[in-house]
Amino acid sequence: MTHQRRNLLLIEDSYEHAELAMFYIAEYRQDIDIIHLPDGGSAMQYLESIRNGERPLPWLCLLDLKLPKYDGHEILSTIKDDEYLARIPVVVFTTSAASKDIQQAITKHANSFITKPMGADRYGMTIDSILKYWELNQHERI
Amino acid sequence: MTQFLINHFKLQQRINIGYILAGSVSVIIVILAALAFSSISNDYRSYISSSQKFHIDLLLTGQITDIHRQAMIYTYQGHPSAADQVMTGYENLLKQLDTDLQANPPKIQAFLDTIRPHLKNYYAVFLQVKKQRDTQQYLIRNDFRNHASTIETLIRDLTIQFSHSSDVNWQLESILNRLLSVERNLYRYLDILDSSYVAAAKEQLDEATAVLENIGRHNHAQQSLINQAIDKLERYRQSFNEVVQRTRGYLYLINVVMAAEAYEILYQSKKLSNLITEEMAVKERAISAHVEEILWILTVCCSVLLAIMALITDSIRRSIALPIARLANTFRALTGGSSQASIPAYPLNDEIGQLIHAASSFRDKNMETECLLQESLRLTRALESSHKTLEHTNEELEQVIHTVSHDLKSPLVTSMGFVSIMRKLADQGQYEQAVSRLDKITLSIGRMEQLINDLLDFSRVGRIDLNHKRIDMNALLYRFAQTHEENLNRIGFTLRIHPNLPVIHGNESRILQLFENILTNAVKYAPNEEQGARLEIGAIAYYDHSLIFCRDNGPGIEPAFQQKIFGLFYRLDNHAEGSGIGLAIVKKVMKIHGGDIWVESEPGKGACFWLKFPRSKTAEVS
Repeated sequence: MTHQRRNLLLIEDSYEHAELAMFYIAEYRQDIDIIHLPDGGSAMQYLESIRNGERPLPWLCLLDLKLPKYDGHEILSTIKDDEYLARIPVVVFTTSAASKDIQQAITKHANSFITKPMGADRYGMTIDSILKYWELNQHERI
Repeated sequence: MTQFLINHFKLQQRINIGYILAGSVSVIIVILAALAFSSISNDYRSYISSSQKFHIDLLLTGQITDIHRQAMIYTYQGHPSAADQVMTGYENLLKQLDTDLQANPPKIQAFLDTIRPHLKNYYAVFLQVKKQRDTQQYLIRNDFRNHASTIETLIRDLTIQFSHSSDVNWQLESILNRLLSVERNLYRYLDILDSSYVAAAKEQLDEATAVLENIGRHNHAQQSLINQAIDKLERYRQSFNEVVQRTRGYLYLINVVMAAEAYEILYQSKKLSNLITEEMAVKERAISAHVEEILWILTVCCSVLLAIMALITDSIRRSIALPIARLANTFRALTGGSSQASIPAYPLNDEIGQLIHAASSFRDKNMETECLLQESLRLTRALESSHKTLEHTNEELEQVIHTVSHDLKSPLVTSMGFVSIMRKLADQGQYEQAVSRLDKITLSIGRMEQLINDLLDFSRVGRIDLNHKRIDMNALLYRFAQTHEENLNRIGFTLRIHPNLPVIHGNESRILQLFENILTNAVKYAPNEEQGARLEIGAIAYYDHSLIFCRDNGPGIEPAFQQKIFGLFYRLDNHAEGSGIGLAIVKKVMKIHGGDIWVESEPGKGACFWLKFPRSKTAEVS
């Protein structure tokens, strides 16, 4: 665990899902600042500002696939096709479990593909697991 | 000729005619050749017969030579058989001359006429020779012999008279010896015909006479006897001379006169021979010229006949081979599957006519096959198109399922998540916080219900509203505008319907739903009120389509999203109301009407939706 605060990019069109995520992250990790981007358009703008150096690289990005305007796949391509943005670890976090989506995301170098769980407490556990995993990961040191 | 053949004879008959004509030509050629050869052989025969004249010539020469040889043998040897042979040869020759005189042409006859007197003369001389020789023989055997023995007797008498005088006796003895010598010389002369013997004999006779005269001069007593002996001796000399004379005479006859005659005959026969040779040469030239002429005529005839035969063959070949060659081309085209192959015109029902009939059946079959092929192609295309439609439908279905699973799961995830949060808050004793989360769950479930209803609505499009009818868009949109007039006026939204809208063929309630959805979107994304939001609906005709446009003055749509907006549950703004089903339904309605929809827009410049309807058969701009 670092003493610095971490930025987590949450690209999610559903305000309810965003609220759930933020609830659990706030519950488990007080040092994480969440940046919620509710559609593809705003996400693209935000990524552009990172690339311009106006904003720092986030620690992690949780990306939903079904989004207004640009969808998750397009945003993933934008991140992974850019040499600088490609360092952002992207966890695709979506309701979809379609093999087509999974295949497309993995081909586009998504760092993980995790389907949003539907069990009563599993949403929180999954969020926790993702955070724990990426805390173990040395990815940030690239 | 070809046309005549084709028009009047069947194939079989044409071939037969060809055979018959060719056979006739061959027969004519053979007959011509036979005639030519018989003419040539006649010439040859006449040539051979004229060559027999040579035989006469040779006969003449040979016989004359033979006769002359026999005559010589007779003359010198004195064989009577030789004389007989001369006579027989003469008679034979004469007879042959007589027969030949009758058989030969005047030219040769003239020669033979010349030869005959010579031959006769020759024979006459020979008879003279014979006579002389006979006389000579007679002289030798009788006169000469008698004189010799008479003298010998006288000398013997004298010897007796002069027995006392040995000298005279010796002289008388020498006379006897000389006489013997004379005789011996005569025979030698006759044998060898050397006149020196005659001279020697004459000398010895002279000596004998001189000896006797000498004895007479000394012995007068015996004068008469001696004179008698001298006289006898003189006679002996005469007979000796006569013998010699005769011999010379016939030798002259045979060696000069007869030889001359014989040479004359030989000369004539030589001339005859030359004449015959010349004649033969002329004849030979004539024959060879004739042969050449005949051969030339034969060649010309054969050539002409062969040319005629070639013409006949050619016309038959044309009448058979050309139609067959054309047919072969036709069949080649037919086997290639062509149904357009040209079949040569052929009016007859002969073997080729039957082939042509077969070809036309073939073509009919090809046509049938082509029709079947086209039908099968059409079916294949239809199958392909339905397969594509099916594929498309499948894809669409998959897309729908994919979207639906995502969008329907979303409220569930929300509900479960909030339930979990509520439990957690409740555990912590924050009941108020927990209850406040209930609204989220209610909203989420409400949203799920809306999604399901929208989905049902979407699935109904094209499934339960199959009754299509003629729709006058002017009337339909007039009613549509009237229906919404009050509400739109209230929010300050202008709906303008252009005149001259087309008549289309479709399902009225769906078309109405389509315009409602477009209007809803326009209202939903309406710009700030001071500009005055509006929607214009109008139409233009475009080739065989009717294009209806719905133009608003809203915020417009970025090109990147112009395709996406027709997707199921796709929203450009998650703050706006609605599930994102409206344009998906619009697109589906257009599709079941065989049309299409697309949008033309730039951000900030409004959007224009184009609806493309296929123009109805009865659809006219009214």
